[in-house]
Amino acid sequence: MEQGTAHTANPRIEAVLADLARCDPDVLLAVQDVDRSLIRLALEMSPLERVRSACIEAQYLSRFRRVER
Amino acid sequence: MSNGKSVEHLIVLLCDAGVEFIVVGGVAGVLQGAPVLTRDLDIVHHRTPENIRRLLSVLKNVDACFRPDPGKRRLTPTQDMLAGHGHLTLETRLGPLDVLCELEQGEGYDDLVGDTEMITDGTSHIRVLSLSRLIGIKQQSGRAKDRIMLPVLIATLEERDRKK
Repeated sequence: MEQGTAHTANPRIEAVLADLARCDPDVLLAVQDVDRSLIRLALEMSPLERVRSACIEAQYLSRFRRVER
Repeated sequence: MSNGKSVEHLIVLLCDAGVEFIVVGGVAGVLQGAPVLTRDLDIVHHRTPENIRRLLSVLKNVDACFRPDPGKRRLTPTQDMLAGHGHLTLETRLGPLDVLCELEQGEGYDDLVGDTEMITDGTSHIRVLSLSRLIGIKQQSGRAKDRIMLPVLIATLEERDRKK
């Protein structure tokens, strides 16, 4: 986990992170692998644009089915 | 509706009808910047008689009935159900909608409202569960589907706070 991040001021998140470090460290390791550029792109959209985009992608992907070759 | 606007329309309809509700679950994360896919809306509503009447009116307007519905009985939610403690998993003409009287830890609207943020697109004002509370709830649940969301939610919180 990166040091000095803003969430260190949030007691609830501090407690969650401490629990995860003790019981589920893989989750904390995975935080480092998240593609932050996707989050930054999402943050440039308005909240309802984000919802629209997420639904469009989910609906598009849900159309695909496995077919026999 | 298949143009991606279904969840958005459900939210706007609820806001326009003056329903007091909190967006929870995946859409709460998306509204706050988490780049995850979602198709259904989860809300916790305020269980006052007037608010339940407003919510029921919206649910009728969108043809809400319980899902799954293998027998095609089209059972619809009632005022008593919305005043209770359960989860109403509904299908509407705008897509799936889960109306939660309480979260699994027994937390209702009044317990959660202090940990919400109001967000707006300039027209609708939407009350959404804070990312920190959402992360706490998903960590406590211990379910795989919630655990898998944690890294992206924590990273989103970090990025959002860094941007402030």
